[in-house]
Amino acid sequence: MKKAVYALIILVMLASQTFAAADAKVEVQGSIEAGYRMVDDQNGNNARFLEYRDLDDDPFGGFDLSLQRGTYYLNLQGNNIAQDDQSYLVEGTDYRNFAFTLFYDETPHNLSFDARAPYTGIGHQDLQLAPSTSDMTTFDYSVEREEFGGYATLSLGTPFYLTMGVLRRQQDGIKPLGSGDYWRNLELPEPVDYTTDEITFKGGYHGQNLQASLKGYWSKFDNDNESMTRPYTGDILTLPPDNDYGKIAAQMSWRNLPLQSLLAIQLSYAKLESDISLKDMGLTNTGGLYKTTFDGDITYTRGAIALTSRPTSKLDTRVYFNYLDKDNNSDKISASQESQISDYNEYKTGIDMGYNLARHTKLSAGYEYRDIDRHNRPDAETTTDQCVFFEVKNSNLDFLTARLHYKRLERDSDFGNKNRGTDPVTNNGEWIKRYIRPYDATDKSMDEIKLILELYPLPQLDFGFEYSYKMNDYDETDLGLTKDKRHTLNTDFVWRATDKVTLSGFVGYEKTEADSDHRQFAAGESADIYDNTDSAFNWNQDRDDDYWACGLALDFPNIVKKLDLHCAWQYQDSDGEVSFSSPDGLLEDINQSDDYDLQKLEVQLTYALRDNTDITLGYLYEKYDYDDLQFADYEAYTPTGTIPGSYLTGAYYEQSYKANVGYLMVSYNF
Amino acid sequence: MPKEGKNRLLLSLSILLVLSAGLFTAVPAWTETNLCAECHEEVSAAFTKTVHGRVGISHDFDCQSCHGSAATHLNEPSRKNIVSFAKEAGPSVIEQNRRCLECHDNTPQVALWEMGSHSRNDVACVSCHSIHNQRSQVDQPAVCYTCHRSLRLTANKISHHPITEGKIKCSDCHNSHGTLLPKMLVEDNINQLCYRCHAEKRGPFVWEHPPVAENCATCHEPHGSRHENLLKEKVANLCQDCHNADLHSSRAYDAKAGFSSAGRARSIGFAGRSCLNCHGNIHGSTQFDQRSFTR
Repeated sequence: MKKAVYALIILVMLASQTFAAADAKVEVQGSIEAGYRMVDDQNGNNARFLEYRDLDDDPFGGFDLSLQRGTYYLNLQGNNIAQDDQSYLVEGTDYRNFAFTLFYDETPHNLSFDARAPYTGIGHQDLQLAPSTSDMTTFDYSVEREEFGGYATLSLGTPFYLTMGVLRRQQDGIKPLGSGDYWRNLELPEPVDYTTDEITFKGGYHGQNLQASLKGYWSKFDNDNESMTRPYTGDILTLPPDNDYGKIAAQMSWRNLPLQSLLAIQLSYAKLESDISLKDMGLTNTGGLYKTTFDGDITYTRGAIALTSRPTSKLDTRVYFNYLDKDNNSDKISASQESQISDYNEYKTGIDMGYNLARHTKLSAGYEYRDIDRHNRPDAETTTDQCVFFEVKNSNLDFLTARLHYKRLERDSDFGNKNRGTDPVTNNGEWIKRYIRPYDATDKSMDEIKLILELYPLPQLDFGFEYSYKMNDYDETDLGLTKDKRHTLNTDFVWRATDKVTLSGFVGYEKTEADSDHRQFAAGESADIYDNTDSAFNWNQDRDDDYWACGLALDFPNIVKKLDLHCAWQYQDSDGEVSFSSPDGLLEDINQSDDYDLQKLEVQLTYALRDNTDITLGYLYEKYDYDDLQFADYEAYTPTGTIPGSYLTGAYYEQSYKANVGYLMVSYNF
Repeated sequence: MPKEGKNRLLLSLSILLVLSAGLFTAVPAWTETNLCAECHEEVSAAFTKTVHGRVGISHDFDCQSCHGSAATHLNEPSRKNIVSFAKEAGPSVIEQNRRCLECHDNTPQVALWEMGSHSRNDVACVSCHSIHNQRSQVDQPAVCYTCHRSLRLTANKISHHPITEGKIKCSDCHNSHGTLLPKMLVEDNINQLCYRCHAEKRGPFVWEHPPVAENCATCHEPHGSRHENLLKEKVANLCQDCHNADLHSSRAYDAKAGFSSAGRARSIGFAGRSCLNCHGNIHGSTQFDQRSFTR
């Protein structure tokens, strides 16, 4: 990493020497802003309110400085200075000579606050039961992400260029980790202490007709805690392993070939490795293992070629071929259990074309064939997709562009579990697999239709409309997801009411439905879906989710002399239901399934104190109400029927919030 | 000084070097008489401050390089006798874009422009790029949402990547100028793309969850979701779409399975984080003798 940083510095220094000394004429412009913010948040656990931001009773500020000298441009930015979501950016460019970017960025990810657990060592890998179960520790589930690095490109006015970049990403915090052993479950604070270092280089040639590049990428991930102890049982939990990932990719493209063609070729090879020792993890059970060390080794090999042409002024075509091979050469460890190390290779080929008819009408159509062969996935060893699409677009009228798009996909899957199991009762765990088909790879037909309208009824008014419907029918599935549908409707507008006043808004609605069939059975009961009893029977669940959102924004400069107004309002409503059917009809429907409503209102008044100084008074209101049956009447000690030791810490509990934020800010522009 | 501190200091010094060497040198002034400015004063003044305007000084191009000869237009000012990029007039999108590619066909970023869905759907360069305005921070989602309306709806949902917060840009995952991949992704497949930021999910693991190892989008909606962790469906519905073994994954988690109930109906397979209460290592596990992702 250190070498890479030095190399980047040398590159930036070299770039800086490309300037010839002469008289100086630098144009400087920018702004500096500073203010104070007051926050009133209610309902205690406000992790959702602060999920990716830092809003507190604090001073805040930022700057944006641009310096230009001819073709040379330099920009320095700082946002949310000294806050948990602060960021800084320096970027410079000299046209066709060099460009560089240096950045530092922090992002909090607040998951859930005020969790409680009777453990010591929270935030570390050695987690122990507290001396007394009443000896609770309160903590927050939150991960702070910090990224810094830079990129530099050197071209020096030649058709050759070299880019190099380095990045370090550090993540630090705690996130919830569920763990189980038979009927005992423990929700644990998993320590997050990750460091990822990345180096990128890219060299290339960019000529008038030919472009070629070679790119390398290396990434090293380090986890300071690759395992942790589990209270009560004292056993070892595994956490993400260290890994190394390297990739090399080449690309060539030729433009202005006959028939106005562009030919492009890409080749890449990537290798991912991890190295884990049973002993280093603190694991001791060697029974049933082939090895006590694990060498993880996955490679990706990809090749792609594509040709676009415009044989006539009205016709454009594209043909392509893509190949991807994921090869997992990792060690198989367990002698007693079926290996779940999988890999696959995929190839895809297709053709599409568009033809321009009279009256600004364009017809497009395409066909794609895709084949995936998987290793160690008997539920979907091979899938073959055939996909066609048709589209018609018309922009004949000055005030309307309309597009209608239809797509159909047929997927055939080679299901290898048809004859699993020897007996539906004594071997029910295997027998049931003959009915279960995974929705990601099983047979299905998919239909999708989209209608898009862009309307400009008045010079000052833009209006957009989009409707889409998508339906998947998993027609061979007995158990699992059998059908899902999605309707989406979106409209928006921008109305420039006067030269200055702009009103914009949107309304969106989405309805999703999913149906699935299942079979309930226990040990010693039949897994045969045609053999129903009082305790072993088939049941069905239908999910029906509705979501809609709308928003309005108003920008009104000079509402009165020197006073600008900006307002934005947004409302979201989410409503989910799950309905069940079973032979005995005793299953109760769920009416609270990730239900929420969210309101946001922002008002900003900016007064020009002087030509270059503004003062802004702002107000932000947010209210979020969340209702879900899984978190209603939440209890830390888990439900009856569990053995002692089961414990939930409160992760994601109490997400609702209401918050008022007020701020006063002074901006100086120069 | 710690190693990190040293690196940061050296990086800071390099910025200063660039500043000192790069900025304080002379540039030729825009001295030529700009005919267009006589009528289009405001546009012309703004343009001279743009990258194009500044590059034009030293690389011999001006308004007519994009808008065509102004000879007829000067005699009879009208949009009809000049190459206009306005949406209600002017040449087709293909012709507009060809104007841009006359200079930019050797720009590495647009090497695959014709391959991408934007080119193939006749999206004009000027739909996203504001040529007459001075360079400023581009609000990428706002630009992309003007066409991709459904993504605005999705990215605003309660579970989302920090796109609206400005911490993730559309271009972090998509190359709007074209790639050879579906959705114009910047990596060879979805998993390799996600692993760039989520390196802890890369593995290789002793025990893989095969659909996870093949495609993150099997379970996650990358732009946003109503459900926690950008999941396509709620846990346990999502898990039961594929899993139906005896005991807990075969039973129906109905309204009686929550904390509010008592007795046998209440279940840790439903209450709280549902399946994830136990199967926390669902992306993969390195537990040598356990493949159920519970440890």
